[in-house]
Amino acid sequence: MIKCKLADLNIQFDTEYEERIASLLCNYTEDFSKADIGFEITKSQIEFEKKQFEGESKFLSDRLYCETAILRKIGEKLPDFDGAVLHSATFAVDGEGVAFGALSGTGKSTHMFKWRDMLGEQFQIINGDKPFIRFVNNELYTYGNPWAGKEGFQSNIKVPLKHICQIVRSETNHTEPMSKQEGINLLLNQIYIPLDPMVRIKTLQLINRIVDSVTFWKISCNMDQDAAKTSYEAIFGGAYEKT
Amino acid sequence: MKLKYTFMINELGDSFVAVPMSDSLESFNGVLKLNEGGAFIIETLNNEISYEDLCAKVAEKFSITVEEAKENMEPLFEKLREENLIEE
Repeated sequence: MIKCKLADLNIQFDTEYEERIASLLCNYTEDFSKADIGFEITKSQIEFEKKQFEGESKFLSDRLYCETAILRKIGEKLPDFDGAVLHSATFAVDGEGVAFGALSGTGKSTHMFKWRDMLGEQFQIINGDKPFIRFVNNELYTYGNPWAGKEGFQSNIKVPLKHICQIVRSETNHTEPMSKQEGINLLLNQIYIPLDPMVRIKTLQLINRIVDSVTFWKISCNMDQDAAKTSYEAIFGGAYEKT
Repeated sequence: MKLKYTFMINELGDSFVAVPMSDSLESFNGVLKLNEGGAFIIETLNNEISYEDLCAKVAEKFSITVEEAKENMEPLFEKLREENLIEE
């Protein structure tokens, strides 16, 4: 039995890959008497994950399919707790959460690293691929977890999520606010949509709450050094000066 | 004709999202993003209806001609056929 704390929730589950999964979750293990979420990873769930990769050239081990199955299980349960999985590169600037969303390969991690290089200690990674988000006492938080993409950048911290940004490749650097409708369209592409129909509806209701809780931005950027400065100044206001 | 699964329409901002109310893992696992017209069509297709009757209903609802209704409906029907969501 693996016990861990993720997104402020006590989660426990059984899997035949316990030792290796325990290693994945080593920064998140926590003992508790009562679980908020409990499940078992079965062979059929691992087979389901294998089917999702059918036709693609990559081969993953059963352990990695198991990790994906665990994330999916959590993603299916999170809406019951006002939460979701948000496909994004997410970080904190002076304790304020910023999420970069885009299709894989667009450059959200690249642009995030430019912010990291510019901000230094003001910057803290939350999760480079699939952070959790969740409303707690009506405040929207973003949380680190170990499902952090190939670079594995993550921290076991939580911060209020204030900005969700769509990253778009462009010849010139410019950043503008997005409308709530554009924000909804972005979230529909970036939030995990559960398989269970009733949980899907909860996720849509959650999206309606998120759009009233964050500011949406469209960051059009290139690979220039000042790309991060342009988007930072648009989002946080004023001229950036290194402290 | 009708949809293979019952869809529930949800309002999201200025638009609509249709969610298939099926718990079968083999079914369509996404959602349909729709405008007001698309939401009306999907709601109507939750029950058996002929194509001609559907065009007439859409034309009446949105005060357009039947020909305009057929033209406006075609992109959604393409999507429904592509995703194997409709029984014609």
